[in-house]
Amino acid sequence: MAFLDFIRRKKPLSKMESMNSNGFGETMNNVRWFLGHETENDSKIRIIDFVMEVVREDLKTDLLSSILYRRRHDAKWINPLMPSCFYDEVGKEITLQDIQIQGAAIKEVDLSVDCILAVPWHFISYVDAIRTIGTNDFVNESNHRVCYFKELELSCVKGGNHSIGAGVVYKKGHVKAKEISIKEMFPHVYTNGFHWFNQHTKEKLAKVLDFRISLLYELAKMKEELLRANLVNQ
Amino acid sequence: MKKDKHRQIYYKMINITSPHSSWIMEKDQDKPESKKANELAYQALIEFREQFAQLKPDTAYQVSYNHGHYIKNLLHIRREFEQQYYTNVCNEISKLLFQNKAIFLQPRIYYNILKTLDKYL
Repeated sequence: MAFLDFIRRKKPLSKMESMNSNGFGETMNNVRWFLGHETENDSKIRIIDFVMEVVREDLKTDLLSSILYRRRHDAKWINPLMPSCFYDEVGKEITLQDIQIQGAAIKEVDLSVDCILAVPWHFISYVDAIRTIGTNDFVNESNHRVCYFKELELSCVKGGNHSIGAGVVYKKGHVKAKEISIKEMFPHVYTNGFHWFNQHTKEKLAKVLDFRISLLYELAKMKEELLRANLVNQ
Repeated sequence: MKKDKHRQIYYKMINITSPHSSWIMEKDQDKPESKKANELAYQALIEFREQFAQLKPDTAYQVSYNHGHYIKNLLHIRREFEQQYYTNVCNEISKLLFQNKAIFLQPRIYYNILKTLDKYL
């Protein structure tokens, strides 16, 4: 059905869409191939961790370089990373905010080590922030709002994109992030690299803004299953 | 002009690893010639890492059709590093450079190669 939809399309695929389709499917196939050659769960988890690290680096370098080198205010906007709400098996709506309130843990994110996705969307503000942070210490300002997705080991900046982005460039500073565990989402949502789907009804929930996020999500889901299998075996 | 410079970098880097590229099979790993070749390959990888770290990654982010292809190469590199078959690593790195000839200096590939080499060397 998906293939029929694809050939019926009148509009050619955009660059991002063709990148999405290719990047997601190819990488998932490669990971599955490598996992198939391993027998122990721990080695499988190590492979998944490695790929997740590679994908996070890919995302980070892409987002930070896009505004500086394009010199236009058209930075890729990746928020929201995932659908803001999803449905369980009985159709009850669960929002990301519900999960956030349940968790409400605070995580200290190190800008020099941790993966943090900042989208400096205004060129001049970004250059100003780079100039300021280059000569001074990184200061936590009131507009800084960051979410940390525990399973993806990824932080996403909601406010303070320019100064945090500059902090990442200079590898200095810490920010406090709200920790969100998306474990609850895994049995109810899946993705094909283009869209997020309801696992129970197969309905589309939202469009995937960047295939690398969906890749991280599916890998985290696989890792979670392996960790659970490890626990059962013990 | 820019293309020529890129090509020069490509040949410079691939010339470090490709002379040591070969396949060590599990059954051959204890042979003295394999051990020596493995040691030489390890030295070549250290040199490659030093030279590669001095390169400047591309400034413009390039969307390529096979965006995720390099991940496959990196997975192969990782697997050979885990087994400590350094000649195989040289082979996989040469393959990565060859298959991503035009884009190996893209930040996504460049920093991931560096990170992998730092982790295992």
